[in-house]
This record gives sequence, structure tokens and C-alpha cells, in this order.
Amino acid sequence: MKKKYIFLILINIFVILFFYNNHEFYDVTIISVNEVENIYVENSEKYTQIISGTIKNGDSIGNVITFENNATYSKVYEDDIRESTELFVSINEDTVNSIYGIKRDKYIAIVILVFIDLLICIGKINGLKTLLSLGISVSLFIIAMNIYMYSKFNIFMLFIPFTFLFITLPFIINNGFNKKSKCAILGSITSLLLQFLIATIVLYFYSDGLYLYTMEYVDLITDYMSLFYLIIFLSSLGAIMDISITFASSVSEIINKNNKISTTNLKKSIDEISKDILGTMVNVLLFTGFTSTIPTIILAYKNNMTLYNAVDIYAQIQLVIILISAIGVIISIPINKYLSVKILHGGKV
Amino acid sequence: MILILSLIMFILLLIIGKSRGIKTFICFFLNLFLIIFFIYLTKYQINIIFLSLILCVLVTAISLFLLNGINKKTISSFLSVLSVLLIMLIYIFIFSNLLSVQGFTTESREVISRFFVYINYSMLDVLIAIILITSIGTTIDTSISISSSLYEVNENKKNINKKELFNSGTAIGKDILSTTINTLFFVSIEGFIIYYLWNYNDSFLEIFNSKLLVQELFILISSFISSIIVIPITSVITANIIYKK
Repeated sequence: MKKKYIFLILINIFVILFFYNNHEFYDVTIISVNEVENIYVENSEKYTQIISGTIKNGDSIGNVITFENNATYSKVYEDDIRESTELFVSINEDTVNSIYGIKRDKYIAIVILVFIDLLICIGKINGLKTLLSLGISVSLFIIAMNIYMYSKFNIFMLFIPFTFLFITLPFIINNGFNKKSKCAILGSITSLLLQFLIATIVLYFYSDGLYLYTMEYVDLITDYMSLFYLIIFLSSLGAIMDISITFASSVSEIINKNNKISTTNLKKSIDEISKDILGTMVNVLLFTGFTSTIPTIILAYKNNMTLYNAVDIYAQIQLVIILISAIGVIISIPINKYLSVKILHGGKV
Repeated sequence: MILILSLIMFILLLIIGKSRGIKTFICFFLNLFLIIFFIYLTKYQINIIFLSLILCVLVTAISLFLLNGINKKTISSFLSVLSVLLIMLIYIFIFSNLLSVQGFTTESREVISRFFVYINYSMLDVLIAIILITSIGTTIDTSISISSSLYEVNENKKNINKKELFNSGTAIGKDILSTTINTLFFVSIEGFIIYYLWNYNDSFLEIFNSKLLVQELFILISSFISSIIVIPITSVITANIIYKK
């Protein structure tokens, strides 16, 4: 056991050292800020920064360079430059032409490492399995997006086979290929299909009122409605899978403990379980989904838009996604109840 | 549209969840109303991190006490969620200062171009607040699952000691972990799709410096971390409360 932790610590040290010393891997010039002097203007949130920094890569490595930068207190758009920040810049002899952005890789690497370390130390074997299935989902996602980028196939159609893999692989990795997984897979797929049906009908009749221009991908992709459907579909996928596996596991647990349990009693226990899941899952969807709209709402609100309009316009698309996901979660409960009794309790319903 | 969907949701909840369904519906819209009310309070230039902490405490109280009643189970969960919140606040504060991923990215310049950006309100604080709110849902979910199972275990096995209780708490938590992380990943997939559509040519190193991707990753991983650390914390607190009695 101890050997594994030493291995983990070594990986951590290696990754951190790499991301702190990888300046030569970049073609863009990087400067490390040594000193920042802020010059404030009275009654204005704008201020000027006089920044001096050392060049960290390329031909003029080691040279010190001084330049000015405009900043604001709110930082709605621009980067936060302070001492020890590293910046990507383009330089022209002794002056900085423009700032491309902040070198963030070393910090996000630490954030990812903290997550992986905690997952392995607290989750042990389950943690590793979780990491594996998360890695597979991420890889599948990247493969699918790459295929889309090169083929420009309809994005929704393209993701259908991938959705099937998104559902089956995590269940098989975490529980093995058995009746339980089979039940959860069937439950998730049926619920998704039914949810899709409801979403299509509602969107068909009421999509006129949607503020489509608030979607960040409207100008990016011609078939943005397909992408909208895909996002609805994928957003609720995890939650629906969560419900399905909870049902399959609890029902097989109950049957394991009491082999001769009657269908009526089994159904009663299932009702108890579904009561507990329902409320929390719907709220998880709300909190995780709604927060991404908060910065835009605040920006609009601070621009003297009324709060009602700001929420109505900028949160609408996200609220539609959350509500459809919630509907998917709710209908998945009777579906999973039926399937888990039928499959795991010998076909009697 | 929102109205029609809410109506469908209400009818389904009524049929499937009965009285519990109505409670869920009320709780959902109460939480939504609270979030919007707290955005309203930013009008008075109150610090949004402070607001989000109060919001999280209120939301935790509503989800635990309104949906599950006031009892030892929910009180242990409440204390655990508060402890996680404090730890997360420190962690998020440190890293959001280092990462500098507040506000909007070049990918959303379309939205920004309609507004005046000198709003005199710190977007860094907004980022910290939204991470706290994002992770509160799953944290409560995991916490209540562990504490109610632990009370169940304690009922069935009378002379169980503190260490055994703690161990069964983490065992239950480990089982929930993978589905929770899976759920969170898919809920936030939209941001990654948008990143990919804009920047599909990015190299490995560019990916880890992109403001949009790092912002999405940071929010997502913070909610992962919150749902991991809640496991041992709830186990310790619940075991202690059970053992005290």
C-alpha cells in the first residue's frame, strides 16, 4: 500500500516540475512579472499598470522589459496581472506589443492533481475505477468532436452511437457485466428516449419564444438546433444514469438480503428509495446548470437592464435545459422501477 | 416555454411523487427564486461571496430540513456541508486568484459586445460565488445519503464502534462517488463543446492555457473535489454525533 503512495507522490512531483519549467516548449514569448505598479485615477474604476518582467524563453531570454497595461477593477474581460504572473506576449525589440493571455497551465495542473490525489486516497479502488471511466468518457467526447470537425456530419446523429458508449462503458467498468448493469443500461436508454420525445414535442410547438441569440454557438455552427438538442440530451445523461444505477443496485441489494421477498413488498421498498432520490437530483440539476448564467445576468443587470428581463433573456435557454433534464429524471423513476423489478426479480411484475 | 415545461414537470411530479413530489416542486422553485433574489441584492454592492455563503446555508437548510425533516440525520449532514463549504472557500479563493479565469472569455465576446464592461463589480468574486453554488447540490446529496445510511447501520448493529461506523460511511461514499462525478461531468459538457467548436486546432499546451477551458475545468473539478471531501467529513461528524449519545 505504501509503495503506491510513493508512486503517486513521484508522479505529482514530476508533473509539477514539468509545468513549472516548460517555457521552452512554447513558441510564444513568455515573461514573468517581477513588479507591478498600479496608478489609479480618482472616481474611476479604470487604472494603469506599469509592469516589469523577465523574458523566460526564446532568443532574448533573461532580458528585463517594462510596459504599460490598462486594467479595471471589475475585470469583466481582461486578465488579472500581478507579481509572479507569467504572461504570453508578442514583443517587438524592447516593447511589448500585445498580451495574449496568462500562463495558467501550472495552476490548473495542480488543481487536476489535487482532484486525482483525493480521488485515489479517499476512493481507493473505486476512485481508480471512477478515474478510468471519466477518462474514457472524456476520450470518447474528444473523438466524437474530432470526427464532427472533420466530417461536418449532423452533430446530433453523430453523437448517438457515442451516447450508447457513454452509457454502457461506465456501468460495465464500475459494476462488471451482469444483470445489474444490463438493467441500468436499459433503464437509462428508455428514459432518454422518452425524454427526447417530450422535448421534441414541446420544442416543436413552443420554440418561437426562444431567445436563440443568447446561445454562444449560434454564429459558430449552422445547424445550431441539432447542437441544442444534443446539449439537452447530454446534460441529463449523467443524472439519468445516476437514477438507473441507484435503482438497480438497491433492488439487487434487497433481493440479495431477502431472496423470497414478495413483489408487493419489493415495490414498497422501491417507493421509499425513489422518494429520497427525487428531490436531491432535481436540485443538483438546478445548481449545476443555472450557475453558468450568473455572470451574464449580473453584467446585464449592472447595465441597467431590469432583473426580470436579464433573467428572462439570459437564463432562458439554460432553464429550458434544466427543466427538460428534470423531466427526464422524473420519468426515469417509474421506468427504472418497472425494469428493475422485471429484470432482477425474475420477470414477475 | 418555461411555463409549459414547469407545468409538465409539476404534473409528472404529482403523479410519480405524490405529496413528496409537490414538496420537490416547491423546493426547486424556492431555490431558483433564492438564487435570483441574491442576484438582486448585488444592486446594493454587497459582496457576492458573502451573499453566496448565506445562499448556500439557506439552500442546505431548505433541502435538508424541508425535504427530510429536522432530525439527527439532517443535523449531522447540515454540519458536514457547512464544514465542506468552509474548506472549499479557502481552496477556491487561493486557486481563483492564481488562475485568473474570472469574467468572460474571447469566445463570448458576442455577448459582451452588447454591454458596458465598467460595472464596478468584481468578477473574481462572482467566479468564487458561482463555484460555491455549483458544488452545493451534489455535496448535500452525497452528505445526506451517507448520514442516513449510517443511522440505518447503527440501528441494525447495536454495538458498533466509532471506527467501524466511520469505515462504513466511507464505503457508502465510495459507491456514490463514480455516479456523482459522471453526473457532474455531463451537466457541464456544454462548455466543453463550445470550447471545442472554437478551438479545435489547439495543441496540448494551448488547451491548458485557454481561459474558457481552464474556467470550465476549474468549476467542474472544484465541484468534484467538494463531492469527494464531503465523504470523510460526513462520516466523521455523523459517527461522532451517533457515538456521543
